[in-house]
Amino acid sequence: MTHKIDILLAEDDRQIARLVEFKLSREGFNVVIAQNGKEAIDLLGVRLWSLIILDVMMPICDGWEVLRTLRASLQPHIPVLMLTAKSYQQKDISNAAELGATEFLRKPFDPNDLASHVKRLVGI
Amino acid sequence: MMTDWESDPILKALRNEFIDSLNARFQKLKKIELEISSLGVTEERLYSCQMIAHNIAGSAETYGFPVLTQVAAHLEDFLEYFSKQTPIVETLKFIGFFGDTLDSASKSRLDPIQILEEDQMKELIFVVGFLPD
Repeated sequence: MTHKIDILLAEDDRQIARLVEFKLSREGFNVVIAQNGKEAIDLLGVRLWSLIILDVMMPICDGWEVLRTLRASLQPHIPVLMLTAKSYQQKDISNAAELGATEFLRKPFDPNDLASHVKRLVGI
Repeated sequence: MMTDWESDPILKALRNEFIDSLNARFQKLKKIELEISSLGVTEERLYSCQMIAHNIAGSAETYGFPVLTQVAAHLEDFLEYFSKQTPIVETLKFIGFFGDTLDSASKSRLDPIQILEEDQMKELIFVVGFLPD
């Protein structure tokens, strides 16, 4: 039995979260959705994630805080794909790079592009 | 962005769910617009409008509504950077225009570019074009 690759998706926009989950599960991934930054932090240690996808702007705590917590944890090397708004400035991108984000994808994104990013980041 | 929304019943249902959500956001925007008109502008009310625009800007094009994303993104930028030095009547006009665009998309289930009349297109081009990228 082939073990599915586990992906944690932190995204508060329900419509986007469900579309990403649908697209990636059709590609063979197992996607767990966190609806805000706190849920994402609570889920960090629950299993060994192959990839974490983080929306930046989320309620309770944002994607930057989740990223900071992850990099300070026992699993600091998990690849992280940040979903950033088009309006974000270069300094925000630089900040994310300093915090250890692996890649960025600007919203709105094409679901096919997202799937390509994900496959590359998990090495398939 | 090329997603064939008719190719899969789940994709089609997800898109329909997104379109259905536009009406709720339109109603919320209308409520804030009314509050601003009758009770005055507050940072909280403008921020609420900004967040509605932010969410639409980040998702509409993904669901096949590129013009809706453009209008929302411009409103978001306007509210963040320009609204403080703009007369409130102009801010309300922009918010109202965005609300009408949401309402049109919600009812027609199409991106505004596909359903606007010529004079509405001119207004859209003016609104979308007058702010720098």
